[in-house]
Amino acid sequence: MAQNPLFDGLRIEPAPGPSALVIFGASGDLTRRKLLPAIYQLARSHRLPPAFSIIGVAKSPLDDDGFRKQFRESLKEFAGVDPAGDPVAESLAVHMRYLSGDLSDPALYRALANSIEAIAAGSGVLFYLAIPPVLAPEVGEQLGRAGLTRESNAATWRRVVVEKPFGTDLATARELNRLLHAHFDESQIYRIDHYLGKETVQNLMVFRFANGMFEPIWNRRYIDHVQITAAETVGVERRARYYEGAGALRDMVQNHLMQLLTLIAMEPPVAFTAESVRDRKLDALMAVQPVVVDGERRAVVRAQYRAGWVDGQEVPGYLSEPQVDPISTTETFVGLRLMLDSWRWAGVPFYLRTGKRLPKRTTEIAIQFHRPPLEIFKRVSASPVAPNLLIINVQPDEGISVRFEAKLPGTRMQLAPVMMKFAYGDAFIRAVPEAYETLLLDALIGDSTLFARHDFVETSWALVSPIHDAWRADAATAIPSYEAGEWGPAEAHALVAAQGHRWRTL
Amino acid sequence: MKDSNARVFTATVVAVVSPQSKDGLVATLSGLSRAGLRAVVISLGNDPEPARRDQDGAIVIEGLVPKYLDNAVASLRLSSLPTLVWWRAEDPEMLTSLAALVDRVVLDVEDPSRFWPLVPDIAAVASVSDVRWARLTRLREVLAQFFDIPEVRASASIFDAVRIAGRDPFQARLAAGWLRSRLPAGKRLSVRFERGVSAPVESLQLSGGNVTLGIRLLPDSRCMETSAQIGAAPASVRVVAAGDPQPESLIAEELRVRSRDLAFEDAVRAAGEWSNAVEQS
Repeated sequence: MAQNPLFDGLRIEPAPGPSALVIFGASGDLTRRKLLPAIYQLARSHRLPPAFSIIGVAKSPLDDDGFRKQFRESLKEFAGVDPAGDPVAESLAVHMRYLSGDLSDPALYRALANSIEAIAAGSGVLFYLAIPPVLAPEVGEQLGRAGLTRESNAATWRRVVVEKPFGTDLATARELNRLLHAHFDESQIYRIDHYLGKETVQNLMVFRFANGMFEPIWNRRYIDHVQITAAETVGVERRARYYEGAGALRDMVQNHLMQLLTLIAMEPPVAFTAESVRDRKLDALMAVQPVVVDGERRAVVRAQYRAGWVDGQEVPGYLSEPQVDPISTTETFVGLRLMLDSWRWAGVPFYLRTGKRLPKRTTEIAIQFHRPPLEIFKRVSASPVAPNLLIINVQPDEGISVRFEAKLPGTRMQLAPVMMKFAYGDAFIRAVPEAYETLLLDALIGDSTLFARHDFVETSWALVSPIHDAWRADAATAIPSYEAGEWGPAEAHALVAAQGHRWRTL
Repeated sequence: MKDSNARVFTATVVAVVSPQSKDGLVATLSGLSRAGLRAVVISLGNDPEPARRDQDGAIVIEGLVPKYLDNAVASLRLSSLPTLVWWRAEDPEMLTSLAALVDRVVLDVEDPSRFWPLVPDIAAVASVSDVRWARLTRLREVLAQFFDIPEVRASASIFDAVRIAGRDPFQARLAAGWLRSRLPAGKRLSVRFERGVSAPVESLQLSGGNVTLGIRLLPDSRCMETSAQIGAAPASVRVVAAGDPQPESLIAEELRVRSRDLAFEDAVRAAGEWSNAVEQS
């Protein structure tokens, strides 16, 4: 069929064609907090097609009206929107359906097929698995058996969004991929990592590959080392049960931090296409050397927070948190030194750290450059030259800063480091969309650039699983600790000091 | 005393206005200036050396002799960053020469009859658009989305009539010009315009064969009702957001566009070719 004649020259971003969103776990927290507000915002900003329906599926005994009520409450509570009399909210609500049932019951999927036929015949369908990971294989299997994953033509596409964690180790990740691949082609599977939907994370690729001035210095000749920090001030909150089984390594490093690392380390893709970008990210990940867990060349440390003070509040230690095993060895902090076997990065350490109950909530990437080869100001300026830094703030204050040396005003030649800052919030008129808006829309459009591919997930687990296995085997050894409100344990500082470096104080 | 807050500039917006329409504009541009834009308002008059003053974050120059407009813009624009001219003066004098100094021109005049014929000349040196075109963006998006429906796309060549109602006949002409320039059989599209009162374009109906597509602005202007009638099936009716018609939003959207807007240029050309034949009721 010919191209859409009216899109020619239309300056809008790509929009999905007629489609339906099927949310498994429709009464859950993720749906209420993130998905329903994101759908509303997409509709508000004209990014959804007129023919768009939502089908909620969950165990909770709701009906269509109950689901609509939940939608309106969710908008009020999590989007700050009063849905009363809001025609966009009402228009979405009219096209919402709800199916209650057991996710392992084939009858539920027959009912789902009927609902899709009734309200979204001829449309694409996005299945969103907002359910505990353990249920994902069962739902995938049932969708396949019910024939709901088959695509009869380009317009009736079928896709599935899977939430992290994608397995709990390499073996379970492989098994999950095998089960999903039994009914979905890889091109139909969208593994969501909300970090990749953040504006600054996407901007990383623009920064690197749309500017000619950075790429020539983006290598071992000019870069001394890279620090990636994802720090939280909160403790485990209501996620203790999940966190006890995961820990910081599997909760943060395997997915978010590895994604950030590969965006910094990847080679330029030949085109900005999903496969090209994901191929280069995989290359970077495959270049990471296995991590030495013990001994003199140890490249990873773990720790657990003790009681302390964060944001002026006294907080309990991890072992005193509700639902945490009092003798738990689950790590709440991880520090890593990663080395990459590549011409670009040979000899450049990538330091990664993440933790809970740290002094500040921030995620940033700091790239430290080599000092000038000759310090010609040594004789005239008392202060030593600080190395140049490029800092990419991922959250909360998205932006990019550069630290460089400048002359202090005065008759004497004195040097001081200064910061040049670009802040997203100051520079652009448009509001930054929530990560879930971006990712949900991409999945509806069929752009998988910002989603994790199966081989990336498995390669990441192949790096992380041996660390976890070694720690599990060493459960008798006491885990180091750090006081809540500190930047991790002394071991973390020793890890970078061994290479003559130090963690940035944020 | 210097402003101690570090600023990130992304573009210069220069509004060229008739003296009487300056005040509202300063308020609008002040909003933009808080978001990384250098805002400049120049009203045209007889003063060869008008004073420059800062008002709410915008630079204001009142009563400038038109022949010095190029110089004023050249000295006030931020170097190395895009400059957009928002043209609200009724006399097109100096517009074409000013266009050579800037990156984008957005027309916003009551009667564009004397301006639209200049579009090809302006387009030769800068991107050009019209605020009416920006106001049509949402309607165009929604209409284009109808053509994602396979039955509608397959029928693209049978559409032969468009009926537009609204307050602004020029905006209606632009909408119809766009359809005539884009639809496969656009040249034989008959156009009917009905004078309205509440919004520049209140409704649009495109029909042909057994397909009728409709868009109607709802009374509060925040939403549009869309309907698609294909054959004997019941019409599919939806309500979608109508978009923000505020000038600052429209200019902000225009600033996102860097390239030449060929669809606009084609629509203006098509609007000019058949405007005399428009039936009015």
